[in-house]
Amino acid sequence: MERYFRELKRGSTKMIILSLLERKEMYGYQISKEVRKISGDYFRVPEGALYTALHSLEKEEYIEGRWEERDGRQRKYYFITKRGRNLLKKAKKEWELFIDRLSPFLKPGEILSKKFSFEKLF
Amino acid sequence: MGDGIKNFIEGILKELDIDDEKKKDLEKELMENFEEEKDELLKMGIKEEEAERRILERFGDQEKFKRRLLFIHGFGRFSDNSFKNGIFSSIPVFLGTLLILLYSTFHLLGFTIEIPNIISTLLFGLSLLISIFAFSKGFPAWSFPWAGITFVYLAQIFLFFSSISKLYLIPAIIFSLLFLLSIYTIFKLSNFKKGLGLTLLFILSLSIPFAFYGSDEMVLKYKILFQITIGLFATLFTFLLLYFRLRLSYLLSVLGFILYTFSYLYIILSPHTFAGGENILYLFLGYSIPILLLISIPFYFFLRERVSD
Repeated sequence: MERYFRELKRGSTKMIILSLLERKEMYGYQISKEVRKISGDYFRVPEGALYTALHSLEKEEYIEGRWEERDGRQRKYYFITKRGRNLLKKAKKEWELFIDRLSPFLKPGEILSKKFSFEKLF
Repeated sequence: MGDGIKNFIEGILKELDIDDEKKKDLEKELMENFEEEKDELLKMGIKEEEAERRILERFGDQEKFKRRLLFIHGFGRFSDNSFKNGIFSSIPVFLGTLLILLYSTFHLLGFTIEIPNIISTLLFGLSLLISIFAFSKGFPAWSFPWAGITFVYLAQIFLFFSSISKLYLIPAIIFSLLFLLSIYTIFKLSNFKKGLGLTLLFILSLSIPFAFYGSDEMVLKYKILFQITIGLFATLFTFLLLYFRLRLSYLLSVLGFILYTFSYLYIILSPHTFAGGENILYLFLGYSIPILLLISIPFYFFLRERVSD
């Protein structure tokens, strides 16, 4: 069961990264901290997996890495590209659809309410 | 930065067959981030050793990271050095096809059977050397067909038996069945078995044409034993490589071999006498179409990338 949830979380890593980068450019360690902070430590992506996700997204041109000096430190900041924004837009839609279609299974009452909602007919 | 982290990063970069520039970039990125993380932990009053231990723990499995990076940046990808990949991956298949052509026409050219045998042995030696060299370089995509050529000799075990029984179609049928089983394995089963299936496919698709030579006296007992030993070692190496580093691009490489194989099956099932050079149309279709496809497939990907750049 543990493994199942771990894989579910792992599958969301790229979407989380793109969502964060849509807000502002960030560097690897910063992303790792933000993920933990925003999710209340629910998502703890190992940094190795985070960097490979970043490099994979960069390779596929969904994000772009640039070296910049800020606060006296040279860091590789990642920016979301137009291609990345499009992907994120599609991923969000797909995710919403997924939740929408999954919830009746998880809350069976909703199926009944949808099936027998006579009020909606009028 | 402490020795623990330095060693950790060096461990990652060592034997990581990606561009030097990417390697330096990665080293710098990891170093910078680890330093910042360490500074934060030190400020929290955590001792240096403990801070490094935590950083490495958070990072996760070093080997897994290396393997994933290889998947992304190097190994089996056409996007890096596409031109080189296109050319280098076409050459061994082209040479192999020329060799087969030579076997079928040597008597017309006034040669004895020794000439194609010598060239075949040289090609085998060259392929083996290139494969070993490529292995030391992390086995890039272009070297995949070179390794395949080294496996051709494995097929001779079947030829040896077929030359005794004189039932020349038997090895071809066995190869074909195993070939179909390999395709089924690749698409239906788990990753582990995908590796096995691809390896089989890789070996068998190249081996099928050699079922033709059952009637030749080129099959010598000791030579075959030697070749089987090398073939089995090479099989094991490729299996391990495919298992750990399988990528979609390999499937594209294998697509070439599938077409190659079907063309030869067509020749096997067609009514012609191989050594007699009869039915030139079958030979032409059997040789020229696979050659064109095998050369054009890598170039297609090369051109597609250039256009999209």
